[in-house]
Amino acid sequence: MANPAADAPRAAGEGEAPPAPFRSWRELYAMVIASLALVVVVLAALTRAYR
Amino acid sequence: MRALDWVVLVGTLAAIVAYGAWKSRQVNDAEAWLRGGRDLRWWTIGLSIMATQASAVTFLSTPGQAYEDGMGFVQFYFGLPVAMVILSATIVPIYYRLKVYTAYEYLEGRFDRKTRLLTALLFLVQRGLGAGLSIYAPAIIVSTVLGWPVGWTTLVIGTIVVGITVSGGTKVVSQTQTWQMAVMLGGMALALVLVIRALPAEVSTGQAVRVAGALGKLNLVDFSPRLDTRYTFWSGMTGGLFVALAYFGTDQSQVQRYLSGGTLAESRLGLLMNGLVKIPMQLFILFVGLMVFVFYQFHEPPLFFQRATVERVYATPAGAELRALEVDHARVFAEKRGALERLVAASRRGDADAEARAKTEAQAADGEDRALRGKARAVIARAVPGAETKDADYVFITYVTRHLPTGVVGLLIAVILCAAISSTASALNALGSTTVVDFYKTTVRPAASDRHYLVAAKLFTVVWGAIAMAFAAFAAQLDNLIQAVNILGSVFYGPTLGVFLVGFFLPRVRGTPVFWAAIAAQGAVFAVFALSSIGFLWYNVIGCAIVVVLALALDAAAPRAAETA
Repeated sequence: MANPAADAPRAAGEGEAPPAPFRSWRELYAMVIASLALVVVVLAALTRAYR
Repeated sequence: MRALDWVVLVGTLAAIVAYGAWKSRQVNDAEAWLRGGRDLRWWTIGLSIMATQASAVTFLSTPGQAYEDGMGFVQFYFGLPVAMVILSATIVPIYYRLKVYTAYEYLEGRFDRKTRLLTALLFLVQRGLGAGLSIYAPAIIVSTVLGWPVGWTTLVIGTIVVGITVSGGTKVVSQTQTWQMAVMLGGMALALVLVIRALPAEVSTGQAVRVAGALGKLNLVDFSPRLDTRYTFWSGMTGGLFVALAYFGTDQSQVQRYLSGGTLAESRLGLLMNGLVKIPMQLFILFVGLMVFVFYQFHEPPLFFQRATVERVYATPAGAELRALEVDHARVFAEKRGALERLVAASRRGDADAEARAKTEAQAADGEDRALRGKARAVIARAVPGAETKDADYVFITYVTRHLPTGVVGLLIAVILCAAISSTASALNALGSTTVVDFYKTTVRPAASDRHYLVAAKLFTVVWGAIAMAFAAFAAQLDNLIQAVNILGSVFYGPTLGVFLVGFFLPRVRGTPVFWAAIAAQGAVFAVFALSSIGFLWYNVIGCAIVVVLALALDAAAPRAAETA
């Protein structure tokens, strides 16, 4: 249970890059926040339309 | 429940148990059991995170919430995507760098052992009780509606959960959760299709949404800064954000899910998948409830959905009063249906004036109907002291058992039981792991073999399963069960989140100040719970803020040399 050798690739940062087409994690985070903003805008519009 | 329902229900549960048993063959050491061998891909992690959060209460209460109060509950989840981004960018890389088994392990390196043990203890108390409630809450509702003995339902759910968790640990819990998510979402999708098909022929889905909007149920976003309204954009972005940060960042039942990722990237992607999918999923479940609401505008609903309670009131002198209210309810329902039929017809021919008139009539009838439901609750409370007078949790299951075809009823009961099993499995998995890693290994047997810790983790999981089932038996004494589940989480999360935030973002603050600040904050949250009427979502913010401020103050007051001596 104590720090097996399998930890080595993680410590080296293997697999740290975000998936394509994102060039950085920051871009991916921005996409998530932008999606939230879009959802809120759409839901707010629906709320107004069906009041 | 007909024979086909039993075949679907037992078949679904048996398939999940068999899959879990088959996958458990590969789990032979403590590393695999505790951290799932750390080779899970991001979609398994994401689905496992979602299945852990989606308890049976989610599938019973959320449609009922849409029926009662509309879609506004979705705002509670607005802070969640932001929390996923914050955690992915800050906390998850730290857990990976330190190679921790539990979230609390990090606190020993950052502060000291007593702070680690305090937060681990708070987690064990809260999640241990929560596991009992997450078994009991669906057991009582399903048993009440179907007439099953509640003890048996509790025992079946508890035994399956303990079996899957003990045999397979983290990896098998996550793998079975992906299939359980498929059953849950598939079952709900089928329920949605069937409820839309059961609407009158002249009511299209678009008009069904218009009907719901006319009766004030499409209140998706509320930007008003009111503190007395539980779900607004602002409470979601503050209280909801704090709940999500605490739950996903410091609750071992969730941390264990993403620490089973093959790489840091897989864990981050699993969390971000949750951030992207959670709001649409909740909208979908709420929309099922919204369509059930519209269905009940054209098919007469019961005045009070908890039938067993109504039967008890009938047996008292207040029974006649309740029956009279039911007669009024039938009359008001007919008036409202007439107005809504006129609204739909006017909408179809594009007559805006007639539509506005019909809408006003429908709203008036709806107001009258709500008043009748309020009176019915008052009669029930008077006739059967201590009876649950909130019936929203019974709306969806009443619809399922009364209006869905044979076979689908069995599938929807399987959805509810799968949700109970998946969320409780993560809880027991985390309870067993935390007990071994944070307590047993640090204070009882620091240098035993891998095999020894594996057996210990399994034994502690069995013990926690037994405690959860025992607490489920006690939960029958609690008046308002669903509220108890929500409040329980919020009472403990704030101080724990505060400790972690100080750890991550205030590097100068030392262990002893944060330890005492956490104890004081936990006491303060208990006091707020007992003595004030502040909404429970704010407990998280209060507890967290007290820890941060008090830890800073105590640290500034304490001489530095005393700490290092």
